[in-house]
Amino acid sequence: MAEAPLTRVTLLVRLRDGRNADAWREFFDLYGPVVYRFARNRGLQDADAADLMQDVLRSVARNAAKLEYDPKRGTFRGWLYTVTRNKIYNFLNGQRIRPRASGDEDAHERLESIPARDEDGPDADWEREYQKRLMDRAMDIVKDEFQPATWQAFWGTAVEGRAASEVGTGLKMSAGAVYVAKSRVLARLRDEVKRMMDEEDA
Amino acid sequence: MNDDCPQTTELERLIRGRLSEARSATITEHLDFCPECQERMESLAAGGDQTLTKTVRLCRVDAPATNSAMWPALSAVSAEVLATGAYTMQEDTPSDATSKSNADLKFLKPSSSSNLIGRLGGFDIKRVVGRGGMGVVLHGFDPHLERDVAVKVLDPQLANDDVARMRFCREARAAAAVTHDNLVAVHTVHEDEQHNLPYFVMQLINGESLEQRLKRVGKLPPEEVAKIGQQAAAGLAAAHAGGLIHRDIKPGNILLEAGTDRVKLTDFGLARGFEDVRLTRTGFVAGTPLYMAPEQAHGESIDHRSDLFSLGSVLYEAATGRHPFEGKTPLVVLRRVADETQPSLLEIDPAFPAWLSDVIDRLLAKNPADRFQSAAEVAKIFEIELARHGIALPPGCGKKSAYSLKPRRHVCWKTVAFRTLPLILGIGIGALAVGLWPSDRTDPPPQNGSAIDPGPEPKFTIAGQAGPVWALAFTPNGEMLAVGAEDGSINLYKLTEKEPINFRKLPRSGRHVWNIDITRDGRYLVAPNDDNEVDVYDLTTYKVDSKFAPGASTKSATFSPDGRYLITGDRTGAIMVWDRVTQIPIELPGINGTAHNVAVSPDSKQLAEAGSDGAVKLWDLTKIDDKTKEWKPDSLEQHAGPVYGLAYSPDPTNPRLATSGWDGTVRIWNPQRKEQLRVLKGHDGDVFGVSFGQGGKVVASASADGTVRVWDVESGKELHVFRGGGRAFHTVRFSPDGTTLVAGNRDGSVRAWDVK
Repeated sequence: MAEAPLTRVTLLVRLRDGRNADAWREFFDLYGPVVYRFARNRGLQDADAADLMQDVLRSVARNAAKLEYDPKRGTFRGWLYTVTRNKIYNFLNGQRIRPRASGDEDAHERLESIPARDEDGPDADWEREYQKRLMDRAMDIVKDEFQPATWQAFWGTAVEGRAASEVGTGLKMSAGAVYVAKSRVLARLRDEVKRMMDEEDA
Repeated sequence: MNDDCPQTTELERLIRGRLSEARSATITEHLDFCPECQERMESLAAGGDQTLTKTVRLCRVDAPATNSAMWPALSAVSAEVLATGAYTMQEDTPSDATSKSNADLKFLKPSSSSNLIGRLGGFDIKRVVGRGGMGVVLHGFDPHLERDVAVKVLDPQLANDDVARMRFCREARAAAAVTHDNLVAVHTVHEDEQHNLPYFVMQLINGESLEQRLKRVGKLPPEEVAKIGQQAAAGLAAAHAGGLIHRDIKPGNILLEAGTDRVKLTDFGLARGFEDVRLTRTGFVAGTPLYMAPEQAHGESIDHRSDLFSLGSVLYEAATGRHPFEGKTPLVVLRRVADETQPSLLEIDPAFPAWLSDVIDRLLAKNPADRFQSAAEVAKIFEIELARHGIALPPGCGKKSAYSLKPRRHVCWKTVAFRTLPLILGIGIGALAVGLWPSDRTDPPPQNGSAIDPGPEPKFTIAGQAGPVWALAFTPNGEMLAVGAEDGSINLYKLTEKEPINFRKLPRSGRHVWNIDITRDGRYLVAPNDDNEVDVYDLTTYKVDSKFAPGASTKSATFSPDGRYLITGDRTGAIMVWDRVTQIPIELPGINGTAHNVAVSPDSKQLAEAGSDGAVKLWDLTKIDDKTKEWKPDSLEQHAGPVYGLAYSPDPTNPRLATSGWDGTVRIWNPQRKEQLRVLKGHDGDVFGVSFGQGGKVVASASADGTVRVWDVESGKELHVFRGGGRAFHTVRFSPDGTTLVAGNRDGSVRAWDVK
């Protein structure tokens, strides 16, 4: 089943149409948690990360109409990363000026170094958070397409990490059947995530 | 990997559910003990993406905790931005907005006038009206004819896409070929040579789409829904008569003219000629899933009845404000469209007019054969009901419709369709119509529950048929009952002192079993099941004994009591009288519609047919061998709307024929004098079946109103009312001794009562 290929409208285009409240709801729902998680990864506390997220989203809303889609200048997601990163930098910098009890570690260094094991470039964990958020939403979306037992077989093995035989016993399914169920849901999730990315990037 | 391991392509197909059941089972067993294949399959499912499984595992763990400050912060900022309209602050001056929306209108030639945005061909273009799937709609002005027009231009980005181009041009051609009051008229088709862009010029409708209307007001009152239904059906009938299927009926394609609310269907973007099926045979599902018919959802072949399903979805949404098959993804929607039955409007709101709820339910039947069979029929039914309730249509609608039905195989006399009811035109809709709207039928609907006498308890109930029960027949000795259900199953029950015993299932040979008849000697059973072939079973072997092939989907069949003939009626309206020995048919001049029922008088001398054309036809079977004369039936035309039920009294000394139909009545006739004796009123809904009992003294009727009623034939008095579960009864039969009454219900059960 393909979505109508002729009418695909990117999220960015829809955001720029100032009257499209649905597009904005979708944007907040998708990116709010991404920005928040990214900030937490960079060492911000829960309340600070929540504030920062609000700050980033407000800023996007204010500047939406100025956004131009230009593939050469990078993706919308890339641009959002830059905004988020700068806000975190400013936040941590501000902290350095008014140090908290935790010490006066150099904020800039902290921004670039946490998490330290990034071999894939500075935005790799931004991308990972984005992928996780997409997956989280994809699960909500596709769950109803499957029989409850199929979904539970997938959940027990893929999310909870339990053995197929163990999950199968509870569901009266053979291990093989559990693998089939898990693979079907995985494949469908992959499709859905891809669809969401296409919708945004196209 | 050893030899037992399945091929990669097979694993792929297993994941996508595209492997045969047997092979799936084998591979699933193999997966029980082959870790290598387990791994291969997972990797295939993940598309080789190593991080996918990790993302799956972590996405919920790493999500912000439910008590995180993020969630309230997110709601707050979302509400703040949406409420203050902060994101629209940059939405600037009108001129700026215009220039922005014109960014993709480079094909327009500049215009000297400041209130025009450009010129295209000979047309002045004033503004952008809207954007659809395939292109831009512009408000233009034709300076020669001095009229406003709508100009639809193919999206320039699609101009090089051959498929899109063909579709677009097809839309234009299709729409230009049909004219009707309820279709947006297409005037001309052009091509802009400089930019190689096709565009067409059509009537500009001043008003809004049903989609916009629903966004604005939420839902519509029943009379508005009915008016839209009537006009949309009339427009569709015209398109269908022109060989077009719209394929994309949805609220956005139903325009409502300002002031009159006249309906105009537009955007035949996906409409196509009956012959032209290639473009969508690529597995790509075209159309809006929310309004798709199940056969579209399945990717099966569609016909004009698919549009009727879509119309049903639209009307349902208009009446309730919500869609019958909502879901988060297109796939969920498609599954619901295919598998789930919507709650009826009457269930949602008991005050909703029963007839309208019923019409919409029937439009939404999963099986096209269970829907109305033509848009013209739907338009007519709306028209009759609207007139009955004194509701006016916009002037010009519902008078002489501009459509004509496609000629059928046998139209030997002028088809008398429905009784023409006077239309009350030009009456203001306001208080008068609203006051008249609640059904003028007498009984409150059975859903009103406790206040109604539930009626006598059934003697026994046979539950659990796989689908609504449409067909029942006793063997002549009264010892056995045959039950046919909508899934094509036929179960045989032995009737004992206590509970009936299901002792046999006949081999299934088709779909919907519409009725069952058994020969007088109890040996043979016939069950037409919407197939091109009719099977006759031998009840001593329980196997198919012979097959008769009328060549079209069969709706009704009966044996003549003398055993000589089998008579079948089909959905093209053809009636065949088969010699049972030679299997050679004599084809009777059929009707324009469906032959819902056929019956033969107890002396085997007369054949009756009940049709969707609203008439009951009577043939003299004794003249069947007389080839010298043109054989013409007598036509009894009293029913308003289709006739469903048909039965002869078993008493040869007092010839009586009972008929029932869409108009909610049961009618008693003298079939020899061809005159109507009595009209039995009391049902609040279609009456699907009738049967005589007690040697012809009483007649029973089964109705969509959820009741079975028993009437005295000579006085017309109502003697009993039986109820059960509130759902429709489709068929009713008296046992041969005339004292036990059985009735088949939509809920898949058969109920039996004693009638003394």
